[in-house]
Amino acid sequence: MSPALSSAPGIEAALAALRSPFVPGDQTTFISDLTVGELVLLEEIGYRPVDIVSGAGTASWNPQFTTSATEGNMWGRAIATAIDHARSGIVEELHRRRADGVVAMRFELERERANLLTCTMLGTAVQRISRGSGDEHPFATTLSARDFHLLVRGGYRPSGIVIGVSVVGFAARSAAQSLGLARDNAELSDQTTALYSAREQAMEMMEREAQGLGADGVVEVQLQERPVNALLTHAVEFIAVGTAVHRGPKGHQALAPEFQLTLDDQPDTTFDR
Amino acid sequence: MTDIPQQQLPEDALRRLRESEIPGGRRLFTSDLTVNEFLLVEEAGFTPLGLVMGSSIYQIGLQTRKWSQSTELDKLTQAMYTARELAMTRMEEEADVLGADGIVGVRLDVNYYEWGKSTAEFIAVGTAVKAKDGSSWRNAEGKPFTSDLSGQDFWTLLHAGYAPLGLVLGTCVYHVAHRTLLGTMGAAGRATELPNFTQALYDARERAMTRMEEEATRLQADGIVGVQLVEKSHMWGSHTIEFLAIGTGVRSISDDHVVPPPVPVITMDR
Amino acid sequence: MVASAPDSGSARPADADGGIGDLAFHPVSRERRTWTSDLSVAEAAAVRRVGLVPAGFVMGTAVMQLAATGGQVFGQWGGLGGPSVGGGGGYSESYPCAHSYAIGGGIGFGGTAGGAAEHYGFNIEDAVLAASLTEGYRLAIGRLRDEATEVGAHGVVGVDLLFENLVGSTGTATFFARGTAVKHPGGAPLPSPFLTNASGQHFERLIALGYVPAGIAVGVGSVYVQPNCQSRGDFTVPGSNQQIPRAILVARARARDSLAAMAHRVGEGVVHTEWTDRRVNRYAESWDQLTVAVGTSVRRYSTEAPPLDPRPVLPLRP
Repeated sequence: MSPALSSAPGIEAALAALRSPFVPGDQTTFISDLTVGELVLLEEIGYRPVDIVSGAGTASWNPQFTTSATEGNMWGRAIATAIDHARSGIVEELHRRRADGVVAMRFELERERANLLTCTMLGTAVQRISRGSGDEHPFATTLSARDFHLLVRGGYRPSGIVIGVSVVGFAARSAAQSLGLARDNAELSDQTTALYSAREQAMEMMEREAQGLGADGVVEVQLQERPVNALLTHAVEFIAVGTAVHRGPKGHQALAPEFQLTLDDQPDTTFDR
Repeated sequence: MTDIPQQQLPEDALRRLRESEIPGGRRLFTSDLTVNEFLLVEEAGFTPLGLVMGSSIYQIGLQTRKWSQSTELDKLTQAMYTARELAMTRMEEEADVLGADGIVGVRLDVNYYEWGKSTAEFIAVGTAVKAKDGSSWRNAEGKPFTSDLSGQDFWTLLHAGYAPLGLVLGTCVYHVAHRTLLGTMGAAGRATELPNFTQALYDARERAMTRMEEEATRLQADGIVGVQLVEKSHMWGSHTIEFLAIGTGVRSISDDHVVPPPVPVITMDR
Repeated sequence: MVASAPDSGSARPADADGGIGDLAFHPVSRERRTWTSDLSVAEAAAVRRVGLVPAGFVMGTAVMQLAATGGQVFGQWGGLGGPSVGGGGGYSESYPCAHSYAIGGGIGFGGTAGGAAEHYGFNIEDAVLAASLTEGYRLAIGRLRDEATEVGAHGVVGVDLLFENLVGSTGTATFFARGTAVKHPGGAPLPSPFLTNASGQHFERLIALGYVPAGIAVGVGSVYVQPNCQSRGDFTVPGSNQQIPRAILVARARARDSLAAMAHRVGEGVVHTEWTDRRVNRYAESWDQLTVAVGTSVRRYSTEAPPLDPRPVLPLRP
């Protein structure tokens, strides 16, 4: 360590450091898309950045020769395959770099042509500063460094990103409706049940993944839904994504927040956009 | 308002809720709360049990209205109210299956799909919670409490000595009369109030607010917090408007309502 | 490349860039009576808390004709020409037809529409395109730094790097770097001003936490993709696909490696890395899978920074 390192932080010392040439090689290097503040938050809960890691997966499906009942399943399977390949790719990379996890992971799902779909993930791999004995499965999470810090201080740790997918396709209108017999201002129970069940199935698949990881729960669940594509407007896909968490041995740790009055904050609306 | 028909939850919902048990008798929880909201709910003495939801797809038809008459369209009001109540009731039933004391962070959404011109899906989603100390938090109707407050607001509310009772809402679909040709011409070039319009909007808002307050009274609430008044034309065109009032009915649970004095700060980050 | 490293080579482009270098270095002789800056009020306040003052808004521009494996990139990123074999870097992989169709008479690069060759695909690293992008960024950043030196700055904060087709249409790209020069009143000049893409507030935190920015680093990776039948979305061969993910991962890995190679010459860590993946369309259905990574190389200059130990607070909103 050069003697300059013991000086107090300040602009003079910082600029002085830039006047002497850098000697590469005698310190551990890292690459991260986080800010320095976020790196310090990680350091305070015992993690340091290692490198950028990424994963990618692509899958396609066959819209021909299938009946409408199986269409949804095939598309759902393609989504799950693409996501799964990206996730196992990034976890493999974590193993290779002897990292313990990846935080603030970017998770993108992009449709290409009608039946092609690509999933990509990218984030900063982190390593525990004091290596534990237990060789735990590395985790991947979309939680920001700040939320990761908070979660660990609150007595939990992330165990991985968990995903559930389901697709439902159904006839646009029932026979009665197309004849104009449907009652106005009444519930359409078939459609209600179809969408309701599909949503539940996506949640169930996600929960099963979390149970497979031995997690205690899942936080920041996002339930996305959208029509499958322009041709199949009568099919809706549901994707549930969340971060599975483990409760630590001591359980929930009190954070005891303090009330604060910010003088420039806007209230956010929570409903009915 | 009419009674809501009791509906069985879909089989998939019951299966998901029952299968969330993990070995050791505990239950896997799921939640769409953010990390800090989730930790605050724990901090407030509640355990999250699971994400619960309910939905209802409704055929919202038209009701004949007179061009020049301002009036409530009661069939549409009824439809908009019932569809939301159905979604909320199903969400509450899911929470019941989990043995919850309440539901926090409830969101109400309306989705329109391409396949249905005049159909809309009403969705209610929230996180079911249970008190850690085993005390009961159910409301006057014996149902789990519901609230659209965020995790932060929920914690703050409890610290201020209030407990949420239920999400209360009132709605009114109103047709605002078009102006007559003569009236338009007479007012041309002058700045003047259009008393009929003013009166119509007043009337519709008051009806929505009154219905919301009636719901709160039924829950024996001391007050309503976080009221939002939303006006939307949905698929009806500009002269037919839904006025929706929604908020969380609360009751006092302590004699004093003292919040520690907040530290005033100004953030420099934006 | 790393700009602003005290030991890195000069930024002045050689005459190789067609003699526009001199012109570009003296774009307009602005008389600087007052300083300008694109900092927000909060950013400017943060910079001043550190002990620096804004010295002026500085920028650098370079318009480049891009080259790619197999020739120039033409049109609005569309273009002519497939790659020439061996023109790229190290990586290449072939993806035969998923239907196992045989191709008679060798492989037709670029594909002939409708023929069996259209079922055949390959990935090949496009080091030529990566190098031409790297050069464009190097020129723009070098000119930004020269403007900063001219106003006597110690550094530039909030550097933005933009990349677009503004001028011309035949495979040209405009590289644009901008930021706010800052100086330390009374401080001796640095061998070369530091550059960072961190905002004013993040720069303040960086200094307070014992790190100093050493320079901006850019990494570029590119893979030319000639899709096989499956990667074109032929629905008679559905299933999981290797070609597209491999192209993305290799392009990202090359960008990461060139970023690291440059950044670690001047500092031990890279923070604030911004990643951009994009596809540049080429002949027919082929494309260049491109990744650009921009980050700030940092050096730790002090280990005496106090612990953050943040206190949880709950804002009471109005």
